[in-house]
Amino acid sequence: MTRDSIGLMDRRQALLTTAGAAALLMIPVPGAAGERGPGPGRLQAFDAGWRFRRGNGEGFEAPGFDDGGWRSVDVPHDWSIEDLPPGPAENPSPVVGPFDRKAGGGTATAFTVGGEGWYRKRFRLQSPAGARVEILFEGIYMNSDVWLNGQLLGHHPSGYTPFAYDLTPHLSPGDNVLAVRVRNLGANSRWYSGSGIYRHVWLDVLPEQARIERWGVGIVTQRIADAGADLRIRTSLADVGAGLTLVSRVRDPRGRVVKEASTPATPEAEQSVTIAAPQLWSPEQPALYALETELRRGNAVLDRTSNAFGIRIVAFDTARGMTINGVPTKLRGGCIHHDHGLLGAAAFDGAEERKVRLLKARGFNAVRPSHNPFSPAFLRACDRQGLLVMAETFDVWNEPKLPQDYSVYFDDQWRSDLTAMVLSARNHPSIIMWSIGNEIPGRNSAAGVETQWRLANEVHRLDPTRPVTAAINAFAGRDVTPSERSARPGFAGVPDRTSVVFLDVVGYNYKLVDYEADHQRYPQRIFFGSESFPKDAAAIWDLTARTPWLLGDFVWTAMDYLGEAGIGGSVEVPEASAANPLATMSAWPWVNAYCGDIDLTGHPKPQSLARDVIWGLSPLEIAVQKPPANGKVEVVRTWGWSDEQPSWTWPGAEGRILAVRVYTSGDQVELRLNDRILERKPVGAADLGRVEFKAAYAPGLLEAVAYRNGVELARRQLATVGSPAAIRLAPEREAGGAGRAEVTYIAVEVIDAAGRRVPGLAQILELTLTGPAELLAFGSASPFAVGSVQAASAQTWDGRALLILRGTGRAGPVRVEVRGQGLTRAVATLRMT
Amino acid sequence: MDAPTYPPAVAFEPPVAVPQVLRLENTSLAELMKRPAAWDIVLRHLPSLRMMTSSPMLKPHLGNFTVQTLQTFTKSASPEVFAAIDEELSRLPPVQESTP
Repeated sequence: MTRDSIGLMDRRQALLTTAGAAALLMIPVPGAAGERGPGPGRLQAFDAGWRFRRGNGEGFEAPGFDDGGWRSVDVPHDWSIEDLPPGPAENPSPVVGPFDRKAGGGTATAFTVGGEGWYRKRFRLQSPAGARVEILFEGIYMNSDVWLNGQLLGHHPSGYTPFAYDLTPHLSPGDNVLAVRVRNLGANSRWYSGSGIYRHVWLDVLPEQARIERWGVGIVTQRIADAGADLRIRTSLADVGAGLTLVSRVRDPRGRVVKEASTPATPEAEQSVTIAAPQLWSPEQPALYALETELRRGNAVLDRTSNAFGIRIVAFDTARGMTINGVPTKLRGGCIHHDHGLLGAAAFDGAEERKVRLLKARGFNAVRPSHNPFSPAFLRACDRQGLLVMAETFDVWNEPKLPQDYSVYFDDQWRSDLTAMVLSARNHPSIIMWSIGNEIPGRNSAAGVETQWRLANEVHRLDPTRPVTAAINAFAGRDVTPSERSARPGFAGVPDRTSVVFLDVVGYNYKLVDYEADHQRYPQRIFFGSESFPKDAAAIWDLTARTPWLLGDFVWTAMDYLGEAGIGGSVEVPEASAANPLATMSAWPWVNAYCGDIDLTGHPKPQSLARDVIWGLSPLEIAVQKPPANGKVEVVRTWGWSDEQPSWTWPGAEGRILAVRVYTSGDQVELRLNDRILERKPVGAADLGRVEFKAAYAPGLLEAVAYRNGVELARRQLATVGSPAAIRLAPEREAGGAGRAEVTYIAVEVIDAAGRRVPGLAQILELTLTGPAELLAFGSASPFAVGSVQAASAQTWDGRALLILRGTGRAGPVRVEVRGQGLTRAVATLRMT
Repeated sequence: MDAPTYPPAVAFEPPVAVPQVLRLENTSLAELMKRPAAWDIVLRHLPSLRMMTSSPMLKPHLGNFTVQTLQTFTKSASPEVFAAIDEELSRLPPVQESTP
């Protein structure tokens, strides 16, 4: 295999291949299949070469159906982020890019459109006789039906859990045709879900007799002591006969084999190993080991799989809160949804990796993927970068939030979906707890309490190493007492509220006011903030820092997302309307929730500056409230934050009094404008690190100086920026990215003559792209429906845009040119390798 | 250092409700609405709740909200109003329940 061919492979395959290089005598390299199609081996990429049609129809599952007129797509693919056909000739048009003002989901689903879509893929196999062939879908939104050669394989309602089908009985030695129908119909989601095969697809060609079960390997850290770390490995094997051997081999983070266990193979095998001087996994040092599992007959390897894992012990108690390897650790958490903004829901590995990187850069050490299982790539990124995960299953049980939501399927599907989530993800060291639900309707009824028990107990059965939690908003129910047979160990007869009585750890949504009282009333309860308002951050962390028992907090949200449009941000209204609750209601053209610390394209928003100070990333930050239009006042929404910017560029506001907010860990702040001291203010305990100044706007240099105990702590300056003059491109990488599964991000900024970004600027930019790259997205962080996110033009938001390219599978130089009226164009050249 | 474990329980048995005095803070909107006498008291003090609780958005969540927790989002009533409602609710005959 050449270096170039590695670069063009999917990263996951490359890792697997490298890890298993020493044992490739019997099984060909995954993904190395030639034109004849995949051969034996697990996890062979099956993303490429699909045909797609948006819309319904009859007979599309038939093998002989002519799909020649359908589009060619490679998954991950999300049709809901693609441009809609032009709407009726109305003025203004109801359709803007992928957004339709008349879409049934409205603000909830960002005015995007679901519907029905079909995928078809032709393939051949070079599988040996006796092979078992399975297809694994990591996620299809939603209600998918899959046919092979006209035979229905199954139906999978959930849009978020992985599932597999055995293709073997219906395979042809020649051409085979897979058909997948996807139906995202009705009111089924409270946020932007995306539509289609939006995660990877894999093909496993396995031994028909004797193989490792799907998600059949589990490894846990049982003890960490001076002698080393004791690990327990459980392996489920299918169709295993006599004379087979199970080999489990542990490689350390440098790839060296540090332990190997070999035992006779049994259907449920258990092995114990001790790793001397282990490198422990933690958010600060996310050391990853690999467990290679082989099923052998003599020296012949029949089946093999590899699982990354970490050696760590996460514990929770009411005295020290959460500890990781014995070290008390607060959850600096953020909730996120699964979409990638301009990419929609398409779960490219690079996008998942970038999302985690952005969170870590802002000081988050924990994330709550809300309110459903996320992609394997996301979890791998959390493992590698050290981001703790509260993994969540359901947003509803069997009582609906929306007419066509998952509650329709819950009774039939909960067990298999819960099992898929837990077993497929249990080896990720980043996952610290399993959430069985978010703000579940009916949870306080007798039936709801029983469902809580059934879900929690099933998780405990599948994975007894992690606590079960749920996100509880508002009323947690009345006090009840569990019996000895149903209670968690040690909790029989201990009263607690109905919503939480069978939970090991409790998530509180928006209940800061209850924290201390509940700790007094329920001293046995271990809890944390599973959702909080951004504007409460300072108060929450003031309390969290003082209380060892409080595990931490997850803000809603860490990043902006599509849908639930306009729950964040603020609006300008006439002063007389400011008290009217309807004044902050959101509507078209809002498409972005706009409550995140980080915007849709990855940049910190003002609330993130405040959090930087709260979490000690920065001692001082300044933000200036955007001057409201004359006669209007700003009203901040429930999940919102004032429209303030780290900017002293407010053309047209000369002479107006502006609010300057200073966030600091100092005890005094001095504000200066153009070298003149305006005011010096103390920062008292009650200020929670925030003071506000009033300053008459005059272009120039605004400066804040923070002091602590009379000594200068830090200073920050905001300079008035000049007129837009040029465009600047900043690729996040300059080489790589040629593979079809790879994405390359390029930041676009409009700058003044001095090279400073022009804040607040909305300007149309035009793109010309040449070379082996595909335009995947071009857009901005705007909360509004301003246009296509896949066309060669985009409108900046706050002087910024973002360009995302996809590799074509070919190497070579790519030239990116961006132009704008009155601006010096920018050109970037990338080397796709 | 040993890893904690969370073993499954033996079997489900409904937990037993702890006797309580009917108050706004320990009773969901859904429960209040099931008791016409109690709901009449609440609506007499807070008539806007009639419209709010008929909202399709709120209906699925009536079991998860008390009158007070709804105030997080509406902020339309005072502690004095809640106290007056509680005083009247306390005069209603108690309901015996063994399960929630």
